[in-house]
Amino acid sequence: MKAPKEIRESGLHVSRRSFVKTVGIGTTAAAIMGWDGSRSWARAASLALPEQERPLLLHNNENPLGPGDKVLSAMNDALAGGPRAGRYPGAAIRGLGEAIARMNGIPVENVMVGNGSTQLLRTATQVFTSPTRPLVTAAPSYEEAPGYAELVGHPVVALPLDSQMMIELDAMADAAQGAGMVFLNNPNNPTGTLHGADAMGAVIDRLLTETDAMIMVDEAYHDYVTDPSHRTQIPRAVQEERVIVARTFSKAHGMAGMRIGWIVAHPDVIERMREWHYGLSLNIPSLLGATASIEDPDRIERERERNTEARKFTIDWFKSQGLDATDSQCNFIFARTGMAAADFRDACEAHNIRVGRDFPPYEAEWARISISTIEDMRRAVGVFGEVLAATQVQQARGGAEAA
Amino acid sequence: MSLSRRALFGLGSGTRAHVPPMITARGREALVEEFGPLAGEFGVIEPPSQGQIRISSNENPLGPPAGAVAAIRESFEEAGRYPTNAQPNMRDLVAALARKHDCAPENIVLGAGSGEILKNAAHAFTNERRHLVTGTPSYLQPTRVASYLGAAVEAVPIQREDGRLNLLRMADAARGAGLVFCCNPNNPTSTVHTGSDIRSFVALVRRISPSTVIHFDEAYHEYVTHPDYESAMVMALETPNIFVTRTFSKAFGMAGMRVGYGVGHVDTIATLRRYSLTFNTNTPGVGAAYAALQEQDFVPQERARNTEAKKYTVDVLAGLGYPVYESDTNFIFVELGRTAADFRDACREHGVAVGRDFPPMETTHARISIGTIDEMRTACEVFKEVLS
Repeated sequence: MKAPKEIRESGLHVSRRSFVKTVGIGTTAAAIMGWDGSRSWARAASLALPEQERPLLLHNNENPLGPGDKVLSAMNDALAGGPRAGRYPGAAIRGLGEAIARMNGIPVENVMVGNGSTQLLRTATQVFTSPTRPLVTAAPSYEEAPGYAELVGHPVVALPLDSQMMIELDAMADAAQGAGMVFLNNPNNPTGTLHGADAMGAVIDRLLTETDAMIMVDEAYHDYVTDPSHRTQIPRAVQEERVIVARTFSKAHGMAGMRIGWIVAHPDVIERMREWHYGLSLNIPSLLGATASIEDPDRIERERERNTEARKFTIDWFKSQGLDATDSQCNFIFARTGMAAADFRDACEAHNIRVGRDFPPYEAEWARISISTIEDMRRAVGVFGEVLAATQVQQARGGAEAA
Repeated sequence: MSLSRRALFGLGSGTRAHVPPMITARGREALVEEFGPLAGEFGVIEPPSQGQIRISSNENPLGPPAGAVAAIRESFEEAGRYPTNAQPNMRDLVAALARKHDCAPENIVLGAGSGEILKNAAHAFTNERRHLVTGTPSYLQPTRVASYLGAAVEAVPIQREDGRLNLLRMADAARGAGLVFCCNPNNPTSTVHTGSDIRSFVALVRRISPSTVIHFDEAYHEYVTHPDYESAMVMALETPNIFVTRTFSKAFGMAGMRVGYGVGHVDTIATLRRYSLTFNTNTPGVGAAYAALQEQDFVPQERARNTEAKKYTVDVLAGLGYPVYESDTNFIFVELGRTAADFRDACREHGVAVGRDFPPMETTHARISIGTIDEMRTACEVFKEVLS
């Protein structure tokens, strides 16, 4: 079920702008298309649905605008020069590594690319943890590395966040004695909280001197950070054999569907990872698109500005309702709705808006909401207001009956 | 001589086939040195440069069907969405494959190419106590993964006389194995086993080692023309611990899009799914594969094209006196009586890239992929020159 012909042929720019709001397929869309809306998330934007029925995906922390025009051109060009899609992607993998190295001013030997940063997190977990060398992580934090460790039977030490929903860096260092790898998500998903350069530098120093664990700093949301105290740990990963920094094209670069991530690490670390890594996981258009994207830093800056405005608007709305939210540095917020995440999610879905999953131990009152365009967020807070008001009415009723 | 049903059934309980030579797990350093740092076969592939003929990687030289290319372009509109949110999404592709193979979605696992599933199978089913059985030469990914994990690898030499896997010895080596890897047709020897061979093989492995998982890698299935060939897919769907892998990288012309899949019993597939990369398939690849499945004429046309270009190539080489194993793939394995490296270097000087070394046959045999008929005409002129 593709977009109507007139939209397809109206040019990439226009069609992309209409597809950016593309989301899942709502009840009406499912009825129109005869599909099970819970299974197929389609290009419902093309169906010219009324605003309130147009599905809004605020559950996967995607860039709602997708990739930039230069990326789209590069990906389309990848298909133009003969049957390139039929050729294995070896040299394009190296080309992307070289572009990443160039844009970061680091040697190409320090760069490795993967099928999203997730594949690289898995590879590092396989190589650097073991049945006797645990993974140390925070909870809640990004689940990929601990999920994989559990799959392969490597123990996981998961430490709770502090009262400000920050990763407790010193507790992580304390727990890292004998660990194989420490996973530090900065800023942290799902809380959006960030540790500045001083705190990160200090904990890395501690881990380097007091333990022999690998230190995986996942900076998936780096491009969205606005806190001036933030610095990437890439220079540290070039200097120190035991520091790895993970990045992705899935977030600010708007390429979640293209499956590309990368790490910066010591060449010996990369060599050890390659012994296990499945290197042929990357596709040709993505590789060429990602290469174009990293060479277009201006667009990332515009995306950050766009996200910052929509994020502030959404956080301000929650605060105006007397509800708390963390100081998120990401393209999502973590907000205290005061109701169970599952109830909030179900209620929002009834309005064709999907929000984030449960994040224990905060699932009783907190929800993660991805930031889309400011127009989308205006509609979203309208729905959130309705959902929360209806819940308050129900609670008041329940209270009255109980009384 | 291929393995006949009679040969298999002739194996009474008291009769033991000769135990094959065993290649035990070597150090991972040795493996990396031997196979290269990236994933097995494909570490150092360059795209064909201007004027170069690349017949080294068993690719479809024409690429995907037009409908798939259009789907890739359309998918870029949704590049910002995870492959579960796009349309068609991963579930849509699984559903389409389930319809194609007349099974349930739970019988299908997707992979970033079938290579990912090969890796995950070796990871899931071999360990220090449960060895891998494979052929040699055969596709190396399972060997590489099992060795990394410290699993022993029993690599059974192929039958030199016909290039086929020695299924009898492989079955015998399966006692206590975690996984038997059976590449059918086999890469790099290009040979295929018949349906009755495969059924007898399964029965024998089951008798010798009931809990061993059997993996049939049918990456070249779409190119097979042998009249007695049958896919193991029906058996895989009916029987726990048997599964089949297929790929869009070969006849479907999408090596650059990274989509493959596995089919088998729900329990086996459920295990493999646990090891799958998160969002292992990309949105354009999913869209391309979904579109390609709807182009019913594409694979038969590609098979016919390949068969013709292959026949031309085999005839030329046979005419020069070089024997070629009976090929049911988009490549041939030819006995040149000289090292693959010498042949490769000489061809490269003429702008023709042919396959890498395939130990232990690299001193006598070379693998040549089948390009377009025009490419093969040019390549054969080069072969004549460098072999003379």
